[in-house]
Amino acid sequence: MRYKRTQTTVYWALALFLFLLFGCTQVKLVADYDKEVLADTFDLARRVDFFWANYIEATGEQRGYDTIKNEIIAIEVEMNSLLLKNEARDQNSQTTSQVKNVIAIWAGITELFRSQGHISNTSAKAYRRQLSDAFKYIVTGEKSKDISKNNQ
Amino acid sequence: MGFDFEATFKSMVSAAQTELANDSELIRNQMKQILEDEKERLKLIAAIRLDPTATRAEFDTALQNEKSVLENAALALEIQVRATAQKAVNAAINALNDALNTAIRAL
Repeated sequence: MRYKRTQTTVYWALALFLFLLFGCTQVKLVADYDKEVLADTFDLARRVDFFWANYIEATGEQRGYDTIKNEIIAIEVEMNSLLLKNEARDQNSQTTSQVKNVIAIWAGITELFRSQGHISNTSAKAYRRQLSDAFKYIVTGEKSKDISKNNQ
Repeated sequence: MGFDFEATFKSMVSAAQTELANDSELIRNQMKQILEDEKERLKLIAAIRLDPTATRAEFDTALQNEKSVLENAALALEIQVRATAQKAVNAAINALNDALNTAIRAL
């Protein structure tokens, strides 16, 4: 009888301890879902894809670095802006790294344009797909954070 | 007033398991999609190597890019796994809170 009462007390103490530990808070392992950042990501992905679609169709001097330089720089600025937005978010290191990877890809391609003046269409198609997939994985990750329908 | 810790613990485990079960299929599909994407990109990279108008530097850049793309895929999976873990742990905490609130109200 006394053992039973002691066991009940221990359970209550344990339960209250857990309640105090977790009762007022929730565990947070990923950033909150941000639909505005997601929309910005979609916009940038579309702009990059539009760049490649135009480049693949372009001929002669239209393919040269001097002609496309302004758009390359504008895209780079947009990518840096997206990075800042992601860096400002709490628990968001994975998405921040993903955007840094996209910037690294873009920097490598920009360097190629600078050194060669232009690139082949075969490479343009491969880079288009690589950047498209790199953005897709950012979007997939962001959507995974949308857990509002569940208990967060 | 007794607090049924065993029953509460079981409901915590059950709540967490439900969340994990819901998301495990999602993670499997995500992984499958990543592998299919990879296959398509490798074909495009191989085409650069075979194209005489493409330079070695273009091919090397494609290989370098591929590392970054694959890292993005792995990071997307990591986010999904963390989100799933967050849901599971919080579901268990909510089950505990519900049981305690019920017990406290009955005092």
